[in-house]
Amino acid sequence: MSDGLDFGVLLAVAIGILLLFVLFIVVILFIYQRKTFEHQQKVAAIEQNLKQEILKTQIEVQDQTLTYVSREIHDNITQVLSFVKLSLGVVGKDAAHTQAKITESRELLSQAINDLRDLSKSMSFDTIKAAGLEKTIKLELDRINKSGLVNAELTVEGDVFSLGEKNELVLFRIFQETVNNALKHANAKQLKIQLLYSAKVFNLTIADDGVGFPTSILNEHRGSGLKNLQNRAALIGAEAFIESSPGNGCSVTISIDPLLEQVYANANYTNSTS
Amino acid sequence: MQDVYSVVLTASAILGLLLLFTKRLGTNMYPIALVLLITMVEERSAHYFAVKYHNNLGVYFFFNPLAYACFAWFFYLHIDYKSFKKTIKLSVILFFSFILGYLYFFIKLLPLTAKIILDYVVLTKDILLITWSVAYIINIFDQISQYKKLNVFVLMVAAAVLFYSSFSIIFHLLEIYLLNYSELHKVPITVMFNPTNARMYASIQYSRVHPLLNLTNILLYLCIFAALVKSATNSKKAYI
Repeated sequence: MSDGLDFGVLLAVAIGILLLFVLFIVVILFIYQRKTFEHQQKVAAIEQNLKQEILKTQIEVQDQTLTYVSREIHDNITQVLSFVKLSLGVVGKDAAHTQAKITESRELLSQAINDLRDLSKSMSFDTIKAAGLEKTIKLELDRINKSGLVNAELTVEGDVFSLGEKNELVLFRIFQETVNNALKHANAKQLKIQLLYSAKVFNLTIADDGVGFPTSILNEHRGSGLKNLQNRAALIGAEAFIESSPGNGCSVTISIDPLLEQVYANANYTNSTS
Repeated sequence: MQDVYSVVLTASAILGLLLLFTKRLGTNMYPIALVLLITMVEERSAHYFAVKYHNNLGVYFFFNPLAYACFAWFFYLHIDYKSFKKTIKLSVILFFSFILGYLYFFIKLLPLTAKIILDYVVLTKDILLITWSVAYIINIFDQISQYKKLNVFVLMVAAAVLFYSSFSIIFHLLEIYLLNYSELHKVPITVMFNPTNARMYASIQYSRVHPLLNLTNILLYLCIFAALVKSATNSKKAYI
């Protein structure tokens, strides 16, 4: 007898407890492995989705650039060059008149060359990659201001740093969409863009003085564009805050934690379309 | 079986102490090494008091909260849930407050009543330890999404604590029942706790659970021993 049980029984019980314990650990480890596998599959699916979304965003940015370039060529450069062609076609009455026409044509050609130079700086994924988000937004705002449709201001606070190619591409696309919305639907006359860089947070704020809208439309079908904007922000781990009310313009803030986004910032992105 | 238990406990405690002083132990294993030390001192003191004064209840009453505090610290380091971390801290404070509050009365109590109170203390300790070990096991599944690597040896210790505490609860509940019965019906304790003279089903069960409790206790110290060895062989950095 040993503590109330004979040795044989005690040994059997000891083995039983040990087996039960091992089984318990094995079951826990099995569940753990299964959950790890499920998590890996989920992460792979998210990564795949992210790649597709980045590609889509890149195509959208390129699309918008091409639309702008073709419009500029058609509405501006072609007109100027046609005018030059006509001007040069009517020269020859007298030397002074000819000289005046040539001078005018030279000035117009210079303007066309400048416009073409500006066009070459048009936004593309390569521009964002090379110049960074802040400079690309500045270039875009210069172009918008030149059109005279709206007065856009940019303020930058803090020391500028890279948020990663993918993040900056998505942020730029969000900026483009928001500005397009302000111009097309809100009849805005004033645009205020703010970039806030700090160690803890990066904020991109786009505010307009347009007609505004009730934020309740975010849950309706007509607010799908805004919803898409929020989804796009979530794609890079950012949050989109939309504030608006009828008659009071609209303010969109994209907030991102730079520390959390280091993984994205350091990620290598292969441009499969270029 | 008591000899096996003593050998395993002493070996684990010496190993823990050695690793602690040579600073080869990961910081997350400090509480476990302290638990071993406390338990060894507790067992030795209990034996000394039993021989010399024929009453060692005070020893267990003093060392149980200390052992609980160390186990609580161990789970505090391994559980990520903030609410649980706060509760663990609070439980240690409450546990000690309760013990200190009772200490004055405990000394004056009759051995039988003191033993019942001690059983309640151990029961509370076991319930809390079961809660923390279950919380830890649930927590490891959540740690997958945080890319935290699972330490199988810590899991083994937590599972062993769960096993031991479960048997301890049954054992102490039976003991409380038998002690209360003995006090109420004026039946001598020797009759209540002797399986050959057992008057009731609870007495027989009590005698059967006792070796199981010892077995799970040995299992616990073997798991701790393995975890200590693993912690010492791993680099310190990997554990922090």
